[in-house]
Amino acid sequence: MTCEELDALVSAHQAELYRYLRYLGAESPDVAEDLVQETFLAAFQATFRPPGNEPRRMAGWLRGIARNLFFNYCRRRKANPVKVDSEALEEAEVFWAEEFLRDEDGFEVFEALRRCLDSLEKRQRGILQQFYAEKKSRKELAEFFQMTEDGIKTLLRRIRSGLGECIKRRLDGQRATPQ
Amino acid sequence: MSEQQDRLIEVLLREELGQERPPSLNKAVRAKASEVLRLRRRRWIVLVASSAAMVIAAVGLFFALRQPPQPNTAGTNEQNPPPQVTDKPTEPKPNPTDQRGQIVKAGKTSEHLTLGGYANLELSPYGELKIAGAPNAEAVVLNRGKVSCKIERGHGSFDVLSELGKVSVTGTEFEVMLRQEDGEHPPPPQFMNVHVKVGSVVVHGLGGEVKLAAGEEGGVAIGTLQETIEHGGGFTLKVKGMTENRRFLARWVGGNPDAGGGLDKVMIEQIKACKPNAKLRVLWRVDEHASRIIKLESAE
Repeated sequence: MTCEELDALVSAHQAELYRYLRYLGAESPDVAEDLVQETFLAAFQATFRPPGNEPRRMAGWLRGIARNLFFNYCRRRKANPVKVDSEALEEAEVFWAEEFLRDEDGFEVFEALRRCLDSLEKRQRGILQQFYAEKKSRKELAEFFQMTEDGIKTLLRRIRSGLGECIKRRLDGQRATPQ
Repeated sequence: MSEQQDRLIEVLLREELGQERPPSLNKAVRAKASEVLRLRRRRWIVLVASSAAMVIAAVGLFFALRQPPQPNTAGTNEQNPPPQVTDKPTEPKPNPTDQRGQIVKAGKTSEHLTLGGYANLELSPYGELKIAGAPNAEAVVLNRGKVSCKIERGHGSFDVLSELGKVSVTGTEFEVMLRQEDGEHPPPPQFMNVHVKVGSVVVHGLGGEVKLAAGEEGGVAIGTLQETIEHGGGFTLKVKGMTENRRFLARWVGGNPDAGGGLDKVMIEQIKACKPNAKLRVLWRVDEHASRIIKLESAE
């Protein structure tokens, strides 16, 4: 692989790999960033590559490398190990490929999420805004909304669940009535 | 809700609301790859040098030990026959100059064309194009539908032109698709979508240009502004010939947020200045799962 080919590979796949590693459980942006770099270096040095440059096949190959690197990373971290096993990682890959990449690059899922966010109740949107955008802790949210921390945790999970259902409905609807 | 779904939504929310953008790692990866290459080269130099030293030693030993050669009395040279010379000419490549100016219309099935011996095209069913260009600078004008192009490197340039802009390449594989209203004599196309499969292309439009690499998408759109998106800095456009409104967002500039990166403020101001139902022309590319505005102008 030449440096130009590596550049093109990085440009085409870095965003998805970063997102994928965060989804697998990379606990911080820094860890995900390091693993993405290691993934591309391993691909650069690999003696075997999938034939052709078909983006979907290349993406699958790179995700496989990233998954192995993440697994090794989890095993190395003895002090505070991230609980993960190869079976769980394979299940996560299947979900990613079938649900997030159903339109090849996840564009439709993002679009659906944006629309679902627009349709949320004001209070739910406010909680998400404070937690994800303003980076407030669960404790701060609990004080603000006069709830317990566990209550906030459950509420956030319930909102995410609702968003997941909303996204699924929209995507299934789009599939049923293609443009 | 499954654990995987919860984690996926969590990641998407961090990105959508928390502005946790996937970083640009090209420079870092390239630096590490160069280091790998340097080490690999050094290893090769050591290997080649030691091999050369062994060969020199072996050759020296051979000459030191070998007997003086016997004279050759046979006078034949059967083991090294003279090279065969053939006068058979190489086959010339097809010359399509007589096709220039010709309009190609695909029927129910797609049409396959080869221009200049290096540009292989597939025109989608009911598509229409005109052959243009010159030798080693082949070009087509796409009037309708989609054309998939596979251009062999090293033979010349290739352009796809349309009412909306131009796509220039030197060696790659890509698709150009136009969207317009149906009918016997439809109005000019309002939407051009370029999808690169291999290599890279440059899309020219609105007096600007955008380079697309393998796997990337972009193009030109003309439409009527429906709704301004304040949160993300963007808008939706109603494009003739498309059933759903198309969403465009300001692009991200300046790297990571901690390095001062953010949505293009100049573009956000330009978007704010647009009035409802304004007719706009957009040069765009897909970045971070959204169609990002590279250039914007009024199409009134």
